[in-house]
Amino acid sequence: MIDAFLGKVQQTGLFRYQLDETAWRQFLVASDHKIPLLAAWADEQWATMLLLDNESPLLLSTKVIRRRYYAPSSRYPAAVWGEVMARDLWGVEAIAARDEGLSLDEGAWTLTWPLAEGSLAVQGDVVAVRDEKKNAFSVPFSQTGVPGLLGVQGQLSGGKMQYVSFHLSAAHRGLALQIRGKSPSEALRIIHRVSAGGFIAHPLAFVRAVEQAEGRSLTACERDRRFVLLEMERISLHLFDLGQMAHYAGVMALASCCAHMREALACLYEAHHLPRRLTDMIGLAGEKESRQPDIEAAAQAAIAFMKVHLPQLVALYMLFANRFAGVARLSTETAWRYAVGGASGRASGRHVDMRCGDFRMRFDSLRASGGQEGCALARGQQRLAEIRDSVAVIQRILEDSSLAHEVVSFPVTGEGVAVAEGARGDVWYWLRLKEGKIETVHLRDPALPLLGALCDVVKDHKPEDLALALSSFGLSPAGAAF
Amino acid sequence: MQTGPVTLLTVFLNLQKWRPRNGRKFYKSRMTRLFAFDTGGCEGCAMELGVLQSGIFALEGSGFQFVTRPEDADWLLVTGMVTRHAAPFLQTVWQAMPSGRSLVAVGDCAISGGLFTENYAALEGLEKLSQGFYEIPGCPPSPGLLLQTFISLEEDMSFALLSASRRRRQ
Repeated sequence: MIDAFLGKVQQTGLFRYQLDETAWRQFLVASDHKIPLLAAWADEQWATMLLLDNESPLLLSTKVIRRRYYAPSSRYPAAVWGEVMARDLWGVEAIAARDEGLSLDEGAWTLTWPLAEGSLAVQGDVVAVRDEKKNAFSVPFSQTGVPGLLGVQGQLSGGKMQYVSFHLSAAHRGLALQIRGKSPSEALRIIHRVSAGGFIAHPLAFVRAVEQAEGRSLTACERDRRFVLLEMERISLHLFDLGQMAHYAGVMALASCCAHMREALACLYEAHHLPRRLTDMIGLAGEKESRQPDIEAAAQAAIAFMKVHLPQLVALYMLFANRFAGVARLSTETAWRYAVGGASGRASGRHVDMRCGDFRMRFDSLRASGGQEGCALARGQQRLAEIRDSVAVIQRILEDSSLAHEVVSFPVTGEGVAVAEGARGDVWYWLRLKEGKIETVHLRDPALPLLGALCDVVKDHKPEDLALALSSFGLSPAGAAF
Repeated sequence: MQTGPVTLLTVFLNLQKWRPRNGRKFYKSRMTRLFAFDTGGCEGCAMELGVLQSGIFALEGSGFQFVTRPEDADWLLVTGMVTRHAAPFLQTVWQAMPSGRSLVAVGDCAISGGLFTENYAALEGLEKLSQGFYEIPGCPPSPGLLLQTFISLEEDMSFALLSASRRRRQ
């Protein structure tokens, strides 16, 4: 269906097609879920859907007319957050959108439609988006089981959560405004601090998008170095997420074991002159990596450490497995509907790993097959399996780092879309450059689809179980709120 | 390098081996109680505070413990730049704390905003909001550094209190 459809519309970028309003609506009516929507966004000119077509990105855009466009959420529930952000940041409205009562601007901002040309200065107080109905509840920020600012509100019935909504307004930092108009190198400094859940994944997806837009090529050495860093980060973050889940399940021995291993890795990196949390390690092709410390020795030390201690962690995890069994089950259908990625998606039967599209990734080293159970236990097992795989991938890359120099080159289009498969899922950046500066940037953090899917998942849980449920997903609002 | 079969006994022996033993001797009647509040950042500093609570550092052995309610806390540990939406919540948390409270900015963003500048959605760090707070710089500061600084800060605060008490008696 999609090939026939794309044959009739105009291609305007490497992966981007421009649709008129009629074609846009036709696509939304006729599309099935075989082409999942990863993200949707809109600014004053264009509304865009990012879809996944056979492991390749597909961008469909339509013009925003009189600040209106037809809502992708009418077909794809995963588009809701993108539409909310477009409305509050750009002042463009999605027609026939699903009304989830969500908002990014809850009255605390100093500008209305801050990214739009005609943004207005306002003065006002924070609008308390609270459900005043009987049995309404609101979870304090410090008790959500999530490190950042995630608002959780809902309604109780019989002591259990019947309706839950998640709010990102407190975590929104206005980074898109700060990045706009900067050169890619200047913007990269900020991108490095978008989310601690992706100190490597976020800047890697960003630089890949910039390199695609500028037609830069990458050496084999730089490419492999990035792969190794991404796997090093994956090990560390999986350990953190396992530890947090154990902490909220009251399994302190497992939490301590994970924290110790993560700290031991941080100390190893520090001993090899790398930042403890691998911050500021990604640079644009040919600009930075050559000046960085040699990561091979640090990676060797990390895999030697993990080979000794990972079996112990697995044994300890299995000892406490019953604490996690059946907790916060994410169904296969929901995982696909929202395109939930990372270990959470793969533990729920959505076997999508964007590393398979990375040129020369040594994907054959990966063994973790995922599962269908979708509960906290399955997510933990998936993380352990992915740690084992990351060790194997790093070892493989270090062994055959002498691969011939092969270059993947793109035409210079001034526009780029790229992905990095982070520990918590696939991070996507789409950006457009104008005279060497960032004109527009949109990102898709793996927490965004999770927020939609989690409303169903935590239903019928007690509020006191929320922290365990959310921590088992490794949820982080920082990247989603941007 | 360790060899041999993996047994649960090995695992628990390792946990015993990793237990922190380098806590300082502290001479005070009760723990200093800490309440952590993230005000909108990348979460790196909040994650480091999480590591501090995992039992691998001698936090309680050094006289500190985390609490879950601001009403029970002596120190408020702020991480991240302050978003405009989070600022009133920060004020509420601060006012809920008992007298004798202290404000500590953890990380560069909480101190000055770090790389981030003031905009429609975010203020910068506590520099713009408060005149009296303690600082722990870093991006992010390591858990070990955090604990060391807690100990130093407490000694400084005790010394300041002692000096004030002496001045009053004189």
